[in-house]
Order: sequence, then structure tokens, then C-alpha cells
Amino acid sequence: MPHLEINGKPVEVPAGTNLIEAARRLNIEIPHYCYHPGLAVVGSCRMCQVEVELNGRKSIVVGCNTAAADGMKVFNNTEAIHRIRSGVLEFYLQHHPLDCPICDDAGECDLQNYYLLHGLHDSRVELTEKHHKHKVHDVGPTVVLDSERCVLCSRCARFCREIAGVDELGIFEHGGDSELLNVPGRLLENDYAGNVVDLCPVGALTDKDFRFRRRVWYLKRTPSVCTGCSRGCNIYVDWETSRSYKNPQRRIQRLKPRYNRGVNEWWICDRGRYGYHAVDAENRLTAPRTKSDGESEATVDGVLDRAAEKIKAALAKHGPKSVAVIASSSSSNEDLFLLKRLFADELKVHSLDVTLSGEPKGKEDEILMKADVSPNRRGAVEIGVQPWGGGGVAGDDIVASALDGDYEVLIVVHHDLTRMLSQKERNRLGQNCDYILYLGTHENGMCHLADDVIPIAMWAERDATYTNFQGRVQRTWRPFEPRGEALCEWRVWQELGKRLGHSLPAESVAGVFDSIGTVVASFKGLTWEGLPANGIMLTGVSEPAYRKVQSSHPLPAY
Amino acid sequence: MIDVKPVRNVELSLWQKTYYPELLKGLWVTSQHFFRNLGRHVGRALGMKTEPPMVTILYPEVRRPISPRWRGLHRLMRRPDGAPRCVACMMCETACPDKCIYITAGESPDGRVEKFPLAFEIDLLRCCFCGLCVEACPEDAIRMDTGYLELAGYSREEFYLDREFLLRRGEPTTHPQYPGELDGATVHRVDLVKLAKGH
Repeated sequence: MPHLEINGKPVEVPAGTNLIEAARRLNIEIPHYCYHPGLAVVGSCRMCQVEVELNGRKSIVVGCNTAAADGMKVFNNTEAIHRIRSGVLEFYLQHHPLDCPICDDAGECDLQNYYLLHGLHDSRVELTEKHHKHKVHDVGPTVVLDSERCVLCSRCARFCREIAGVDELGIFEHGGDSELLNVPGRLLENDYAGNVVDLCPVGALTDKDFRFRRRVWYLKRTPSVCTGCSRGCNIYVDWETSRSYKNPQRRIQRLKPRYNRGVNEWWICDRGRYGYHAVDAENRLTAPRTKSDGESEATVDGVLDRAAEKIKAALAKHGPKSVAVIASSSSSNEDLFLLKRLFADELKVHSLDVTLSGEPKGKEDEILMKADVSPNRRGAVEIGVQPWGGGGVAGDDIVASALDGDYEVLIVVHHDLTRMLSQKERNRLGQNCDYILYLGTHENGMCHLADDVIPIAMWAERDATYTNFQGRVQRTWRPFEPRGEALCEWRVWQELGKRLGHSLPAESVAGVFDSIGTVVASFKGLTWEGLPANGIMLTGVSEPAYRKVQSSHPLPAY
Repeated sequence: MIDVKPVRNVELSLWQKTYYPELLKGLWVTSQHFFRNLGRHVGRALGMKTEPPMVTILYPEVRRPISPRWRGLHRLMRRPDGAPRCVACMMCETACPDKCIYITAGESPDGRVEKFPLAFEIDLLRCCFCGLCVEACPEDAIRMDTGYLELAGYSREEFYLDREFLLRRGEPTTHPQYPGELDGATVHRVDLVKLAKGH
């Protein structure tokens, strides 16, 4: 473990750590463009040059490709370093267009940031003498390239080759004519293409989905977890609601990956990145619906009252066998825990399950994407939302029994059964079930089949925890309120419990999670307050082995 | 640190406390001006050359010259080919302390500029005429030099200015349009003096 000094401050780092990462531990930023901790080191941008003193000899080295050594003294703030960086920047800005006002990256651009730190020189190039390259160049279905703004750091090209495993971008020509372009005959269309926009230190690569929608300084940022598949990539939700005149319904503006060494490193897939549109989609359910007569307008209270009445009547008449629940592994741990508490523990309903064979499946690869598109299947298994006792029936059999008219009351969460049934079967289900209650987020066939519908909140509208396929419990933070009258699912179970005379634990999501920690064995010892930002493994589950990163430097601990 | 400076109230003398003498003194000054001006106007209307010339400006027929720094109704400038200069960079929207500028950006159909305002709206009732939008604009696209100061209307909607309205006075000129014409409503101008002389 080498001990070294950076700007006079001592620090100890693992052997092999480069100077940029060593400085990061002291919250000192060594400016850089081409270096990224997740990618191979090329040392081409020359911005990270620092002064190093070792064994009495002084020299200027690049921070990204110099390993920390014992007794090293690193200086990031000397006059010489300032002069070098100013010179490097002048080369970068020589032909850089004056696009800042219309550049989507303005505000989070490293050229702007470092120019203010180290540049502040006047341009020696007349506007008319600037070189021109491709502008608004389509490199793929999701990304736009502006070659004039590119600083040729090659992060995007390295990402495609090293992480996505395809050669789709490259740097062509020589010297001043060098230009980032598509590899001939190929488009930037891998499943991780959006990451090149995050990697781009300037505004050369911009996201078509976010392009011109908001200036970045309008955005507010909330940490969250992607619910697109069972991996549960850590993300930031960048949202803005005060300027609704721009596009009225849209609250989330973009998603950005959040570093988590054990889950998604620095990346997210495009399915997750653009999957947020569902939250602000036009077909979101915003109000409860009912088919019952004599009610002009459905209210959540009215629907809950009726559901409780129907359940009570069914239980009194035919016992717990006449009620079945098809829950969802897209629900959070808290939702599933209260659902299990209410139906299995209190009402002794045997037939409850989360899994149906007809559920949609996604693409799976060896990088991030999982075929299981529900974010909390592991949580459902750990909490034990499954058929139990003698008469318990599993997923598909619940549907089959419901078609046969075995249930008085059928409660369905999220699952769109109508997509798995023929028109004939749908009609039969509607006739044979006395009462169907549907809890959903979007308009679908179930909304028309069910007797009562309660709209529920989506992941971005609530505080919740999800357990990913590794067994890591991760929480989301709520940026904004649910749309319309939508409720958090756990709140529905709690209100229903109250009406059925069973009080469920806790009035807040934190309280519900804490009670999971006291009841469910694998959640033992976990508390809401004690949840770290990058998640925590279930009791008895060990951290998965980290993937070897190309840079070969020890991974940052932040 | 800001020093605290104690200020004592000015003590009124007995003469001032009695109130009426001071009031009459003020009225006397006002009346002097009133009658002097009245006399001059009547005199000039009858063709006499009064010295010094009358000081009252016969607004709205006659208008005072406005300083180039004066800030009034906004306008959006155009390029020589008529396209809006605005590139929808949102600098004015960001700088606006009243949040009264609403811009929606879009991909420009014109190949030379990437970004342009699909919508550019100003809610004049919220505007405090501070001019920060003009300062912030990197393209000299928004100006407040129309010289138009009669901002009156019958409904709130009339004060919600859209892009077309703002561009209408944004001809590619550099001088302020003074005195302005607002949407074809010409300012009715009559020379009272000539009228009085029987011209």
C-alpha cells in the first residue's frame, strides 16, 4: 500500500492505483478527458499532467497512466501545471465551435469547467478560420454526433469495443483532420449505445431523446433504481416539473447511470435508459374505475369499501378458498410484505402467487440485461408470496381455476391477464368471477375486465425497496408525487386491512420496511435508515465477484 | 460589515406644526405654474409668441424622445433573411427573475442553425422590465427598445405575447422603432396648435 502526498495531503492507496484515482480519494480533481475508470487507459488527452517528485527528482507525468508509488509527492496546483493545462486547452479550443448556447452539454461540459479553471485566455483564431467538420451527424438511432465539438478522447470508441463488445465508432484520418465517425457500414445501435453520451466529456455526442428538451441546469437529480429488469441498475432520475409548458406530461427528463461496483458499474442499458417514458405515458391510470351501478364517479374509498365487503362476504360464505391473489414481482418489498401479511397471515388465503408463465420476457446478455423484466422477483421469493397450505394453487392454476369459477373474489396486481387469454376466456373469467379487483399503472384490457380498478404509483413516484437477482436490497427515492389519484400499493393493502378489521404494521414505508427486517429471516437486521445508497446484500448472501475492469487499476471506492 | 447609522426624526417648528400655512405655501407654488402655463398655451393658440415656450407636452399627440437605454415592450429580432435570430438557448428564460419567458426549443428546419424557438412566449403581466433577458442574450435576439409604453389591454390573454407577435416588430434594423405602431393601430396624431390657428 503506497503512501503518497497530493498537494501536501497524505493518502494511502492500494498498489497500482493511478494518480487520478488517488487524488479522488482526497476530493482533489485532476482534470482529464480521455481517462475513465471503467475503460482502458490511453493517456491521449494530456489534460491530467501533474508534477511529481520522487526520490528528489521532479518530472511532469500524466496522472492517468502513472501508478502511485511510496514517498511520491504529487502537485496538481503549481504554476507550471497551470500553464501546461492552459496550453493544452488552447489547442482543444482552437477549432472548437462557439456553440455553447445551443449545446446540450453546456453546464456539464468539461471543456467549460476546465477553461474556467485553467484557460481564461482569448482565442487566437479568427471565427472565419475555424475548421469545419460534420455537424448534426446521425451515428445511430439514439445518438447525434457533432464532430466539431469532439475532443477526440476516444472514450466512446473504447466503450463500444471494451464494454459493449462491438466496433461501431472509431477515429479516422490523421492530425488536424482526425474525426470521430461510425465504423464504415455500421451504426451505433448496440444495446448500451446511450452510455457514450454520458461518457462524452463535451457536447459531441448528444442523446436524441433529451436533445433540446431542457437546459441541464434546470434539472433536479434524485438517486433511484431502474425497474426495467431484475438487475436493478443504480440510476439518477433527472427531472423537472416547473416548466410544464415545454412538454406538459413529461416530468422525468432523462435517466443517468449511478456508479455501483457490484451491480452496473458505470453503465445502464438503453432499455432501462429510455424505459422511463412509461411513467409519464398518456395511458397512465390516474383515477379509480368501477363497473358497479348506482355510482356516478368512482372514488378510491368507495372501491376499497366495496372490495372489503366482497372479500368479507366471500370469506364468510365459502371460506378462504374462494379468494385468490395474483400479485406482481414488479411490486416493491413493502407492497409484497403487506400483501402477504394481509392475505396469507390474516385472511388465510392459500392461493397467492406472483409468477405467471405468460409474463413478458426481455433480452438477456452477459453485460447487464436480464430476461426477467420484473425488478423484485427475488424479494417476492424471500418474503414468501407463494401458495401455501394444502389448498394453495400456483400462478397459472389460479387463472385456470378462476376460469372454472372457483373464486368469488380475484385480486390482480399489474399482470394483464387479458393478454394471456382468448376473447372467449376473457368473457368466461368476467362471468365466472363474482368480483375482480385490479391494481394497475396503465390502461390495458384488465381495466375493462375488472369490476373495480385502483390506480397505483410507479417506481419514480414513491420511496420503495427492491431486491435484485443477486439478493441486494436497493431503495428508490421519490422525486415527485404520484399522478392523479394513484396510490402506493402498500397503502392499498393497509387501507383494505383496516376495513377488514386487521391492522397491518406501520403507517409509513420506513416502518413497513423495518417490520420486514424483524419478520422475514433473510431481511433480518435491515432497517430503512440503515440502507446504504448502493444497496445492501440480504442476510447470508455474499457479494458477487466483481467483473474485471479493462483499466486494470483497482476500482474506485466511491 | 455595515455600520449602523442612527437617524433622528426632524423636529418640526411651531410654524410647520400648525399645518395650514405650509399647505397654502405648496398650493401657491402649484397654482403659479398652472396659471403661467395656462396663459402661455392660450397665448400660443392665439398666435402670440410666448417666452419661454410652453413646457407641457401634449401627450399622446406629442411624445418625449426616449433614451436609447429605456426599456419597454420586447421584440424578437430577425436575421436579414427574416428567420428569427433566437436560437432557443434559454439564457433569457434562465436569467428572468419573474419566470415570465416561456421557450420551447426545436430542431431548426434551416440548416445553418441547429436550434430555434418553436414557441417563444412572454407573460407581460409578470414582467418587471428589468432587462436581464436583453443582457443575457448571446445573439442580440431579444430587445426592449420598441419605445412602446402604452401597455394596456382588456384581458389577461392580451398580455400573453407569442412568438409571432414579438417577431412582428423585429425587422432587421438597428434603430429603435419610435414612436411605435402596435399591430396596425396607428397612433392618432393631431397638431393642436395648427388646429387652433385654423390650418
